[in-house]
Amino acid sequence: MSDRRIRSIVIVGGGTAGWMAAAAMARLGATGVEINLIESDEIGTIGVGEATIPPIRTFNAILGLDEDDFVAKTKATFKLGIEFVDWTRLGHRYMHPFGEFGADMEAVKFHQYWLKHRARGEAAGLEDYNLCAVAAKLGRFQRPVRDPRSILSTLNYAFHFDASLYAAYLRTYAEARGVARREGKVVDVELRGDDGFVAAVKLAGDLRIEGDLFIDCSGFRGLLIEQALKAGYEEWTRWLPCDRAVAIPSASAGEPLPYTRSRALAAGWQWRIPLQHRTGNGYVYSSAHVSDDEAAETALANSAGDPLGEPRLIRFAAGRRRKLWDRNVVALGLAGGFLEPLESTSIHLVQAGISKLLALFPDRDFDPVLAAEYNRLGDLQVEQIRDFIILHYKATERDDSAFWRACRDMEVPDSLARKIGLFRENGRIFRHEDELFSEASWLAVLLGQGIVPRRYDPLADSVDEEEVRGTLARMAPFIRQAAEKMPTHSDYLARLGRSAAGAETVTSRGAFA
Amino acid sequence: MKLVILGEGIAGWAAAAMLAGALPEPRYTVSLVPTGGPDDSLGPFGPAEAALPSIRELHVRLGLDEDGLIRQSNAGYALGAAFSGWSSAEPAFFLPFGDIGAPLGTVPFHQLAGRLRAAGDHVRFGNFSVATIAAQMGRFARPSDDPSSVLSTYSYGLHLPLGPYARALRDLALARGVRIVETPFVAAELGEQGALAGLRLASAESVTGEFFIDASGPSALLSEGALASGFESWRAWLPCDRAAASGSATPVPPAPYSHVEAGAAGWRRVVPYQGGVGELIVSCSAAADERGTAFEAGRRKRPWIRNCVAIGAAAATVEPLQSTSLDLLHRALARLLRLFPAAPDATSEAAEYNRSTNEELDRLRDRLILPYKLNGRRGEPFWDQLRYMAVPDPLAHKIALYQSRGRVPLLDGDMFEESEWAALFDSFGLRPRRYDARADALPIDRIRHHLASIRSIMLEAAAKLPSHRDYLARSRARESAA
Repeated sequence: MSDRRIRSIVIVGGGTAGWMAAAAMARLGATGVEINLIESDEIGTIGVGEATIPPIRTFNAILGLDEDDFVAKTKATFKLGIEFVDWTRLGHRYMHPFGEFGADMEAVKFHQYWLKHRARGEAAGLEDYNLCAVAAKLGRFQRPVRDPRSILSTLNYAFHFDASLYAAYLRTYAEARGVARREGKVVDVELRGDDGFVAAVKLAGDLRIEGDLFIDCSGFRGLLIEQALKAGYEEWTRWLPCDRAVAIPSASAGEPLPYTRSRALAAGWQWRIPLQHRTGNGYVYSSAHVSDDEAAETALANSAGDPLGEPRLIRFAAGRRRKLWDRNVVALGLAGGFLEPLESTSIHLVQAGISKLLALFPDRDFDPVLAAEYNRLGDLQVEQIRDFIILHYKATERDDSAFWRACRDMEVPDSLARKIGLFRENGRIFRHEDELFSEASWLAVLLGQGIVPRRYDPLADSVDEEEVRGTLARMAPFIRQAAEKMPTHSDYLARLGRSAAGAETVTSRGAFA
Repeated sequence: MKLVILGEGIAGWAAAAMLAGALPEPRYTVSLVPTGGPDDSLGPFGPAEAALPSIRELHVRLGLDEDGLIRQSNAGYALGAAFSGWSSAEPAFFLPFGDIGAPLGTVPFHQLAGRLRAAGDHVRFGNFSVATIAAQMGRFARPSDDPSSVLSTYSYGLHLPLGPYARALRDLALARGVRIVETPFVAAELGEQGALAGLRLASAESVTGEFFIDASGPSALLSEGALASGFESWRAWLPCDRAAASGSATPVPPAPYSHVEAGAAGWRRVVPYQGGVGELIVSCSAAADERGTAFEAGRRKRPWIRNCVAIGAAAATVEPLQSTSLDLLHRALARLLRLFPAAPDATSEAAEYNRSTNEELDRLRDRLILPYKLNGRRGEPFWDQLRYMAVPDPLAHKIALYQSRGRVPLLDGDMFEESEWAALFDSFGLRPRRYDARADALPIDRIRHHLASIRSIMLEAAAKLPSHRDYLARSRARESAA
C-alpha cells in the first residue's frame, strides 16, 4: 500500500475559525503534517464579543488549555444562559439557562409534574427550579462541584470572551506546535486540471502555497469553497429575515452579567455580551424593515455604557453552503454558512466541524464517501440549530411591527412544526439523540415563547400527588438558598484574576531564579 | 380511558402489565381479549427467544424479579450469539454482549486493530471480549458493578422459553388489575368516525374501548384487518418466508449463548435453556422445500392508526436473526408510554410514533440484510443471488464508509452501536482501506502493549468465573435457602 497520507494542510483565513482549526490540527491531527495558515493583517476579523455554549469547555480541554489562564487572556466572563427580553411580547422576559429543570420522577419528566401543579397554583415559576437561571438573575456564579449529591453539581456554564483575543491566544498555541503563519492576501486559487481539486493558493507577491487539504476559513465570501469551487449557497431568509447587524463595543457599565441578554426590537434583536474590559452590543435586523442609520442609532441608544468606537455594519444572508466539504476543501465558520448568534452557536459550529473532520480525516485519495458523511452530519446539525432559532421568531405574540407580524405568520420547516405540535399537545419534547440543544433548552424556549401545552402527560398522575406537591414546594426555596450562597460573578472573576496574577508572578520569579 | 388489548400472547401480556403499571386507576382500565390459537404475537419464531441485554430494563420497569423468573421459566443466561457458515473470512464468529477491546484515548478499538493489521499483525476481535472468552469457556456470572473491573465490560441477555415467560407476564398483569375476557375475539366494531369502538366476541357480546392495542400477531386483526394500515414488504432483500419451530428436552447443561448456522436456503438457530433447547429453522420457500409456517418480512405502514397501536408481529415481522423480537416489543411499549395520548384521537402523537417506529424498523431491516449481502457461501444459488443484490441506500452508505475508514454512520433509529456494526463487518472480513488518522498519532508499540494487556487481564478474569451450570445451580440453591 503506497503512502497516501495527507502531507500538508493549508488554512485560508485566520480569525477565530482559522486559529481554532490550526490549534486542533496541530494538537490532534496526524503527526508529520505541515500546517500553513494564511492571514492578512489588512483584513479585519468579524469576531466581536462572542458568547458561547458549554461544549466550548470540551474543546479547550482537548487542547489542554488551562481554564483560568484562558479566562484571563481572553478577558472572558462566565455565562449561565441567555435572557430573552421582549421576545414573547413587550415587557416579557424569560431565561434559557444551561442545566436542568428540577429532577425527573418515576421516568416522567419534571416539567410534566410542574405543568400539572402549576395549573393549580401549586408550583413556582419554572425558572425557580433551575439553579443556573436563579443564580444568573441574582448575578452570581461559581463553577459546578463534582459531588453529584450536591445541588451545585447541576450548574453548567460557558463563556463570553473577546473573539480576537481568543484567536490570538490560539495562535500562540498553534505556532508553538509548528503551525506556520503566512502573512498575505490570497489573490488566486489554482485548480488541478483533471479533477478540479485545489492545487495551490497564490498570495500577492507571487508566493504560491501548495497543499493536500485546504480549510476555508475566509469568512462570508468563501474564497475557496464558493469563489473557486462554486459549492453553492442555500438561503434561509424566508425563515430568518434578518440580514444585517451593527456592532458597537461600549465601556463596561456596572457589574458584568453572568448571562447574555437578547432584547427583541422592532425589526430584529439586540445582543449584550459582557466582557471583563467592555461590553459587546449589536443590533441584528432586517434591512427591509429598518434603515441602516436608524438601526445604528437604536443600537447606540441602547448600549449599556459609553460607546468605544464607531458602529460597524455587517451584512449577511442566513443559510448554508450546499457542500461544506467539496473536493479537497472543507469550509469552517462563516465560509460554511451563517446563522445569527441568537443562541450563541457560531463558535460551536466551528468546533463541531473540526471534530467531524478529524473523525473523517481523508488521505490524498479523498474517498467521496467521507465528504458525503461529513456533509450529511453537518447538514443535520445546522438544520436542527436553524429550527431552534426560528422557534424564537415564530412563537411570538408581538404584532407591534410589520417585522414581527411577518414572523408570527410565516410557515416554518416541517421538522419544527412537528416539534411545536407535540409540545402544544402534551408538553412532550422529542429530540434526536445527537441534537445539540437538550430537552431542557427546548423546554425553556418553547414555554418562554408562550407555547403552553394543552394537557400534561397522563403518566404524571401515576405518582402520589402529595409527594409531588411536597417536592415542588421544597425544591424552589432550596435552589434559591443555594444560589444566594454563591459568590457574585464579579467577585468570582476578581478572585480568579488575583490568583492568575499570583501564579504569573510565581512563574516569572521561577524563570529568573 | 378504557384500553383494550387484543391477543393473549407475550406481546399482549407484556403490554397489559406495562400499561396497567404506568397508568393510574380508575381513570384508566385495561382489558385483554384473546384471539384463541397458538401464541404468534412475536411471529412464528418459537419456542424460545434469545433476548438482548435490554430485556433487563424491561423487567425492571415491569417489576419482574429476574431470579424468580429464571427459576420459574427455566431460562438461561446469554453472553451473545455464535454464527457459523455465514462468512468466508471466519468460519465461525461470535457477536458478544458488551465491549470488544477498549479504546486508547479517543481512538476506538477497531481503529487500533486497523493500525496493527496495516503493520502486518493478526488481530481477532473475539480475543478481546470478556463475553466471548467466557462463552467459549462455558462460564457465566453477572457482571461486576465496579467500573474499574474488567468484569464490568460485558453484559448479558436471557434465553426464555416462551410459554413459561408468557405465563409470568400474565400473572404480573392480572396482579395489576388487568381484566381478562374469557371468550375469544370474532370481529372489530368501528364507530362513526371510522375508529375502533369495540371488539365483538364469540359469545356475541362486545368489549367496548377508547384505545386499542393490536397484539394479534402477523395477521394484525385490528391494524390491518379492520383499519387497513398497509404493509411494506422487505421480501426483495429478506427472502426467507418459512419458519419451523420445535423444542426438545435435553439433560445437557445449557450453553450461555445461542447458535445461528447458515444452511443452503436459510438458517437454523438453537436457543438453549435449562433442561431443553428451542430450535428454529428459517428458510426461503423458493430455494428449498422446507416445512414451516409461512411469513413475510416487513412492517405495517402505520403502526399507530386511528385509536389503535400495533405491537409485536402485528407491527413488524422480523426474523430473529439478531434476537430483536423482545427488544422491539420493549421499545414499542416504552415509546407508546412516552407518547401516551390524553385523548384517543391524537394525530401529533401518532405521527411521531410512526415516524420513529418506522425509522427504527428500517434501520433494523438494514442490519438484517447485512449478513445476507456479505455472505461467503459461494456456489449456492440462494446465497450467490443475495450477494449481488442492491441494498437500501442507508446500508450502502454504511458499508462504503466502513470500507473507507472503518467508521459507521449511525442514523436516527439505529438500535445497534457503532462497535456492534464494526464487529459484524469485521466478522465478514470487511477491512477498511485506511484506519483512522488519529490512530496514527499513537506509537505502534503502545497499541501492541495495550492489546496484549487487555487480552491477559480478560483471560485471567474469565477463567475465574463459575461455569454457567454452577452459576444456575447456585442461584437455585440461594433461592430455596431464602
